[in-house]
Amino acid sequence: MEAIQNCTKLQHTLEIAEIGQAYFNNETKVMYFDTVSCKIHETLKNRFSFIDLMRMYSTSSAKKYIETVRQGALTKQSRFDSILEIVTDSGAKKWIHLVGVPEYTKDICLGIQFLYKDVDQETREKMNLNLQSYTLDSSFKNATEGIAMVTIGGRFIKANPVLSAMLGYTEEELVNKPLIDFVPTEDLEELETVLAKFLMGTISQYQGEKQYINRLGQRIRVKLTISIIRDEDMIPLMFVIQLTDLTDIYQTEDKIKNLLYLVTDQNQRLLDFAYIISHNLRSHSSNLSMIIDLVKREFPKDVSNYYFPMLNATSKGLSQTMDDLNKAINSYSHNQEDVTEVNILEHFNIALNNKSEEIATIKAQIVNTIPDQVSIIHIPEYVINIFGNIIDNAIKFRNPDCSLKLEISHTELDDYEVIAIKDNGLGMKQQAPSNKLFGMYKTFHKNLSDRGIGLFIVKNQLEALKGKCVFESEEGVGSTFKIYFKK
Amino acid sequence: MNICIVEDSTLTVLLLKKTLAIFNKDIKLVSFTDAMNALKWFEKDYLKQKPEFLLIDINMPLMNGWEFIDNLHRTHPNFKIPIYMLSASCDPADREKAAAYPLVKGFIAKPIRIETINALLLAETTISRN
Repeated sequence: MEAIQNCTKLQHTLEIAEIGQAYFNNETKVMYFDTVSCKIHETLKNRFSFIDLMRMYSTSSAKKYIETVRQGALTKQSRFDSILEIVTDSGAKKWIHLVGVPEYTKDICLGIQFLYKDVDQETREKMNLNLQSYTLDSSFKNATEGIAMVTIGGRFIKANPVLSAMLGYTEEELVNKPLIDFVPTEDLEELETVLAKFLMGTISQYQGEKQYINRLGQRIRVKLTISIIRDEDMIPLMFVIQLTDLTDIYQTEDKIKNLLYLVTDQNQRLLDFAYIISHNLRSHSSNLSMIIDLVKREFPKDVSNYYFPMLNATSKGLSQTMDDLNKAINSYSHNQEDVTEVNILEHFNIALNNKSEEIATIKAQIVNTIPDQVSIIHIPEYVINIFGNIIDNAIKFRNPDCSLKLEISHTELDDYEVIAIKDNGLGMKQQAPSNKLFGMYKTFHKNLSDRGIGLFIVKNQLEALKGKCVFESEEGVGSTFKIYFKK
Repeated sequence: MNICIVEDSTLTVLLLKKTLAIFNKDIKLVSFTDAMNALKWFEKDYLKQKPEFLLIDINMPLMNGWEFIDNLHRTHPNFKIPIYMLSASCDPADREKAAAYPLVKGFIAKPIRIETINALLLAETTISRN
């Protein structure tokens, strides 16, 4: 009687403790739940077939138990005591604590007595915490910046590999070392103030560009970040220090600065050189021409001097070179504001009109098929000059035996608007590489007024806006300049 | 005929003098190799030997031709004597600049040709006669 009473009391206690009971009949393979177990398993049924059980215990953590039972592999000593995940009727997953003890009569397993407890919330929390701690630990170890935990008193608790390497110590050596060992004296006061502010709660984060001193006594520039960790009652637990090495950034910056300085300096020297060419040197060459002119006029006898024609030719050549250099120098200077939309046909016609007299004199025929709506982004003066120089070139190297015919056409490519200017002039025997043809003072027509400066300027003015020029020629047939204007 | 030259190269001044003398032996030249000295002259003495026209070099150290004209305008707001600029560079910017200076009557490109000086003298003589 007393035993029955005790049993009821136990039943009551288990209910209050929210511990469910269940019995598995090994012979019929049927599981019986009490009310608490039903609640835990979130089901209204209290009787389950083995198939029901297999569905309920289908998660990876539960499967092996049901397998043991199914295979009849239970022994007298078999015990279940596990936290595992089940699938409830609604399909939701839930963590339960299960304890199972087999019941034996002689060597026959009659069934299994089970106790259940819902441990879903605490299990999930624990798992989450583990995950967080794992993630934190792994970021701490693999971080590319130095991270360390420092006691409120300013001694290292733990440093990650990067920070240890930055300071020049092993992780173990750093433990318990005072932070101030690595702080330059001039920064000590500030650091103390900052840490005091943290402790008073007036700041929660600090960031600044600082230096620290490593084991070898070298000063390293870093970005320093300090934050504080407090417990639930807001009592400070420790500081977290983060260091990002700025050496590379500063070195790169220094390199760029040096390079910029070098380029600026060289550019200035080029400008000075250009100035000397266009002014000082020019002044001498023009005086020389004037002297020769005056000699011719005032001392006509001296002109018959054997060397005079040479002097005269040299002076003329020098003046010509000065002119060319000036043109080349002036052809570069442009501002971003000069770049605008340029209608190709319109600007070709301007270039053509500039030569109208010459074209009329030599009775040149112009066949122009550039459509009137094609535009590019360029500098109008450059475009006029580019066409002008090529027209000049065609006039200069025309075939004296027939009248000049110029055919101008347009093709559109993915990246370029291409203008081809074809002439029936002298042409050239061998296809000269474009870079030679367009180089300063590269000339091929020895007997003609062969000055290469025009094409040199064409090349530069095209390249200034990512364009290019291709030249095709056949001796006695003519030449074609293809001008590629970048779209 | 009086002509004033502001040109930093003494050789150029000498050669100009020679060239001018070819056409007119009576030309009196007032020349300055430093624009500052030229300005001083215009402040005090220029009326004693008033030039028919000025030849001003654009590219001079310390004060260039344009700056010289600016200063001249400041001291002589009613300056009416024509000015010819001597230009060694073919910088198009100089030609554009000339539009802002009504007194600038023309450009003489260097090297200065004897024929150019002849044409210049003919033009200025005709004007002064009229």
